[in-house]
Amino acid sequence: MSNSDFAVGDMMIVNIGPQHPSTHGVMHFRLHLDGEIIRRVDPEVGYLHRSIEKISERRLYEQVPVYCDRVDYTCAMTAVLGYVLSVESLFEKYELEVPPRAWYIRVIVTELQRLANHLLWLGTFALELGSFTGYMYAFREREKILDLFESVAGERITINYPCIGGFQQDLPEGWVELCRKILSEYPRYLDEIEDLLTLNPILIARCKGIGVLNRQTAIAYGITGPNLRATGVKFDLRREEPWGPYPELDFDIPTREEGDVYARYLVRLAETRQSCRIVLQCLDKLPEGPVLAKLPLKKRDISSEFLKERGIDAHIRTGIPRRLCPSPNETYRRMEGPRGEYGVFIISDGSDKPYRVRYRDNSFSSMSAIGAISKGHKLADFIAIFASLDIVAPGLDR
Amino acid sequence: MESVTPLWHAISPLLNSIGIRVATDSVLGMWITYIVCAGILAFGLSMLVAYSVLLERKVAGFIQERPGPNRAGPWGLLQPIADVAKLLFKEDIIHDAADKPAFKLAPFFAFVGPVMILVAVPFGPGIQMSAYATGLLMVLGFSGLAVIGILTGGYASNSKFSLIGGLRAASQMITYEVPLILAVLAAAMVAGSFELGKIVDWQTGGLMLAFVQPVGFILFLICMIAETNRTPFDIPEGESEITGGYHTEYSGIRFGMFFLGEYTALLSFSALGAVLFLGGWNGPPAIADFTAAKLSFGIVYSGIIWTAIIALMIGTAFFALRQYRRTGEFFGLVIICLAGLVFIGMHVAGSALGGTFLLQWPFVWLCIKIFFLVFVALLFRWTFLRLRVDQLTSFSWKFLFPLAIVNLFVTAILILLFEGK
Repeated sequence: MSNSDFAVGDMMIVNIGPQHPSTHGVMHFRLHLDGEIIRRVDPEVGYLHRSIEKISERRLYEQVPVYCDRVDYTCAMTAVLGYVLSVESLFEKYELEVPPRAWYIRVIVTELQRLANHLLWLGTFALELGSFTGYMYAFREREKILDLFESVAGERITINYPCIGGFQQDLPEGWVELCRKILSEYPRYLDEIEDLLTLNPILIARCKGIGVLNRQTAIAYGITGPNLRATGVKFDLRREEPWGPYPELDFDIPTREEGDVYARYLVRLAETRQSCRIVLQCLDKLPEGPVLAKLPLKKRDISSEFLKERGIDAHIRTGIPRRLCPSPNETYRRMEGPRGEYGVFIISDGSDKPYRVRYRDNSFSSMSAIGAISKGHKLADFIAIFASLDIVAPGLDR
Repeated sequence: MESVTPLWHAISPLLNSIGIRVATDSVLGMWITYIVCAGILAFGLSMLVAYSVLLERKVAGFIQERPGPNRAGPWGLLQPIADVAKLLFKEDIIHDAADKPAFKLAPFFAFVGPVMILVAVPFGPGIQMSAYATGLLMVLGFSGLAVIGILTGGYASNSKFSLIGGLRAASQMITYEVPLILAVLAAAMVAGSFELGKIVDWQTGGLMLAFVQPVGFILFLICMIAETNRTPFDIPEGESEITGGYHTEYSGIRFGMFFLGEYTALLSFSALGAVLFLGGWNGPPAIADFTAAKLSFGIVYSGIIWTAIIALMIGTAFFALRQYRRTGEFFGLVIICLAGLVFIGMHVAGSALGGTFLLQWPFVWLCIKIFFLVFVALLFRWTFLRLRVDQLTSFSWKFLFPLAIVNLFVTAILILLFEGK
């Protein structure tokens, strides 16, 4: 056993992960412990690399969304939608006109995904702090939203509902009423969860003043989303760079000043209430009409030399299927995903496949900051900090 | 031996009456009685422990509004048997780096300590495995034995998580033993004896010690949960931090010994609490039990107790009904209705038969009280979160310990004042 694997000086090295009950996936931290006090954290990424970015370069524009849901499997709906929005921004407005009903449904599913993700986060956070009941309560609510997803897309977790130009299928019959019923009951059930957790003296003792992320550190590490808003920065891409009907909707952006674990907890819970409000407004305003735009499909640009070399007659070219081929361009389109900025960068070269795709997920930024904010805390606090940052393994590596 | 003698004196005429000739003072007969009693206790205890695991999972389902185990047998009633069989047949893995003798021995210490507590617990008037004059001290000594098992297990596993878990367990159990002993000591001072049977006798026909020693009772409850390593204080095995704590490396029945040892500890500490603070095998007071001079006191006292019992049952029934409405599981409702019927039936039968028959059935009342304390511990477990290790120790040393000392001194002063008269 080499010395460095076991201990450094007086400090013991403890590996949290890659297999550990509270990493929920494959993440790895090497903690340098002085007794129970953390002196250094080395996060290690790379356990869940599936080269989705490279795969995306070898697929047609329409085929890529099937892989996008694995970019972030806890919020597949927004992961797919982020890519779709990015591809759509490669076209001019008149080329690809997404119908208004599709925009509204996009907002609805985005906010439902935010709700589902925050509930998943709440459940695992409660579990990390030792409250199995909080976990069960949160998952009970999440199940209802996954049921809604299942009825629109046929899948619960890795959903492929949004596609370029809108949606392949409209909402099923009776879905709007079901959704309205579930969401109007939601605040009452959330109150139940809050009764259990929010003012629980043990939760407060475990969370207040722990893992304080100050504003400068958060911005320096590029942290966005609820983690940033818990430090007091009122930055939300739904307000800064709104798309679709967001400017018409009435909602608040909850912020807290403290930047500790408790602030992150409160911000996320407040956000679920706002998401609920947004969805209910959208359900009221939902216009009728088609949900899929007419796609600007093109014949692929195959040079006449290419055909002549192979002795193919020009008339056969009409049999080649038409594809989505954006003109050479590059774009970075970002949206407010459940755990912060979710952006997709695409370079198109005029062919039917993207030249380069890059996904940006906030998990990586949060993971980078964990060493800075958990120094000097106890081992148990590290778990609370880690749980409060809402890091998921697939977002780290793609 | 002396404690079995009255039992043998009761059994031998019965045997004689059905034609089996035995002497009332037969030493062999006493020994057989002794062994049979021990066997009944051991078998009953292991069944009780296995079923308390099921109870825990059912209560968890009750609190979390889900059915709980319901696959093995009706309402999952055969689940404990399946669980124990699984634990027995699983491979017992001892990894190469472990300190083998210590690794093998540790689970037995963790299991034996809590079992030995029950030796001194009186299950009824005169029904007690051993009635030592210092029974309480013996019990407290054995309750400390589990620490050795846990610490040894944590050390012998040769794993960092186990080591941290073992060390946490040692510091926690030592920390909470001090206020526990001080709280129990105050109760023993009031009753004037270290013998558990005498402490119950003191409570017979009078106040429960929980009313005389309210602070002591609350201290005992908190320390009991800490001693048995249950949630708010389950830091030694805090799953999300150190995976399983001291039993991370254990599997099969050795893990089962730790696991069942924890539930045994819960049961035996609850039994201790029921004996020390809740009147042991005494039934709840009936007004008929009080003499004319104490009648008004009797009405108030039994009124308080019966109100508490009825309020608890109505409250539980309300949540059981909600569980049924939301999940369709009606096991909770069935249990509540059964408990209600038993209470009413016992009361009716008791008053019809002159307050002596069912109402005075000692073992049932002790079981009900043990169940009540176990239920409280389960409610704690499924409601609270886990404390941090430094918060845990400072809570004990800075709050519980001074409180226990003050309680002890106030009790002593009050005893001096009232005894002096």
